[in-house]
Amino acid sequence: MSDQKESSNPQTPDPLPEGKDHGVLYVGVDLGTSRTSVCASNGVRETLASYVGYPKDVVSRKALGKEVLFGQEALDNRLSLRFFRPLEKGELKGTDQADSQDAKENLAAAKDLIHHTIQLCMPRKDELIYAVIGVPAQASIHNKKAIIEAARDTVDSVMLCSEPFAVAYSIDRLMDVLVIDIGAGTVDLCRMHGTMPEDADQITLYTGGDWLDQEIYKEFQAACPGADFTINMVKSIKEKYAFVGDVLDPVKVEFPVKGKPTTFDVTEPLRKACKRIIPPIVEAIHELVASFDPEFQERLRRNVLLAGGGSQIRALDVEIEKEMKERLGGGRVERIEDPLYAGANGALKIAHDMPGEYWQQLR
Amino acid sequence: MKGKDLKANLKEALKRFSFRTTPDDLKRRGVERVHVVGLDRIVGLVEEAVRRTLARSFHLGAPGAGTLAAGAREEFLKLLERTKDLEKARDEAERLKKELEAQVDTLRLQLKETETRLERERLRIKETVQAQALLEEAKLAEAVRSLFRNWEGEKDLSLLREEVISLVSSHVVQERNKALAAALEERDEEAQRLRRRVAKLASSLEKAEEALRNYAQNGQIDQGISSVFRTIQGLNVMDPAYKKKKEVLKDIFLANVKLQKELQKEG
Repeated sequence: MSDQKESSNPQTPDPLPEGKDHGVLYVGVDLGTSRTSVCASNGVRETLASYVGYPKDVVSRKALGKEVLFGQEALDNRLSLRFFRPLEKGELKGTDQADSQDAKENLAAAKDLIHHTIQLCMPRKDELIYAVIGVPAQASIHNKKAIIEAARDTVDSVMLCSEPFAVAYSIDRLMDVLVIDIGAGTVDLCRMHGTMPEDADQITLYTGGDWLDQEIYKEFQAACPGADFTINMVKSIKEKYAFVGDVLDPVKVEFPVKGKPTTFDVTEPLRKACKRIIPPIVEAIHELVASFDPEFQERLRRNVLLAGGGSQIRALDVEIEKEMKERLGGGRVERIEDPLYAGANGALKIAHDMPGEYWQQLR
Repeated sequence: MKGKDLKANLKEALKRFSFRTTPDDLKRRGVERVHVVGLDRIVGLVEEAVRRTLARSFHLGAPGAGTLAAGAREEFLKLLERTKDLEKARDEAERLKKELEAQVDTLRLQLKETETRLERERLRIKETVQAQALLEEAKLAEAVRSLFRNWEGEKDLSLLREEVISLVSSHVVQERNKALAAALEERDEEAQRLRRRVAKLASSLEKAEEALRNYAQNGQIDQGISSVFRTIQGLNVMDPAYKKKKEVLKDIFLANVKLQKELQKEG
């Protein structure tokens, strides 16, 4: 295979930042509401829950031995922390009220999360860091600016791209493909037709993982009388057992009832809630297919790709196909491999392929 | 590389990156049932996954995928070897660090002991010389006095007596000092040897400490994993979708330029 690359020498190159002359570390980040994944050109790939926590007082700081905690560690110690989940519905919280205390704190937490995520890649101090961050397809302009601001302190140059586009780029399928990225905050649908997707090519739904947690919670409340459980417990059950197809094994969970662990069969309530994610998705597929060039609609229907954490719901591809058959006369749905890292991988690939002069202009 | 070797190496890699536990330990942690997959099965799955991914990703037939898979195996084994080399280098650096630390400790101890010994020796020589001089002087003076006592009764001999004592004393002291100087010279040679030893130990200590400092500093610099790219990359002109990708990358870039310009305006 040839190693010929596009010219990366601009006519008037900017001087390199001090001490950074030993290589380029490309980083692809999928900054998600629930999980943040990162892949880097040194082979490192990591994922962590998008949580940030700061010790509430001197006592907790001493007990925890850290100034800031991230991911599962933050979640596990949340009672002794000022706890932040800086993203909601795919966006940084409070970006529409940038001057509020809440927005400032969330932005600071997002900055720390991005910094920590980049540090997980173990970059060398003498290397340039060029990062591409995936953002929801229809992220607001305020949100995009806030993410750039949050990343600037940590990397030498940063670009944003649409998450579903990054997924499609990761598997080199840029033509006549409909990507559905099911995240915790949003479900992003994006049709690819060989060029950069425009607004009309993208739909963002707010029926993602967090919404589903609430639906399951309500079902469990009805199905498990007297049981004590939290939304975090529901989330764990969902991540382990969520399904929409036929029952293979009954789903039995333990919830305390007046302090006594009690077993409940939650198979049906779980399936019932999970199935609610399908109609809005198929509705959006319908909209995107129907407004596409008629000559290529068939090809688009047959190239639906499921990505994101939500794509791991068992039998979701099959059930979406069934629903598509009813409403659109058919279709083929495929899960992408490695859903946890597909967005970050795509972002990394974009970072790598981006010409050098582009990076330097954005420094 | 033969398939057998690859399997053995895959097994070794899997063993290295897995951990051992016991059924009792799992039970204590509340695990009652576990899924068990044999190493052979995992190795087989990894091989099959690589083969399939290659075939699908590059739209290759079985022979093409086979060739690529063989190449991938080679790379895998090279990586394993490199990992081993890196581990060896790390172990060697660790060993060196421990040796240096031990050497510094020993040197510090020796230096302290030598300095103490030298100081004790100096004091001892000084005391010995002073005590001997006093003793010899007293003995001689007494002998001369005794001699002149025998001459008592003679007129005006007192002046002579004192003069003689003074004369003899100074002469004896001079001789004694010469003798003592010779003795001291001998001792000084020993002291010089000790001084040289101290200087040498101090220099070795300094070098060892410098080496330790370098090790610690380099250790910090090496924290981090190098990117596989030494220079800025770019789209491969041989990419089948080169033209399309070039366009979309330009679009992404322009959208980001616009965004960052707005951000700059906002200050």
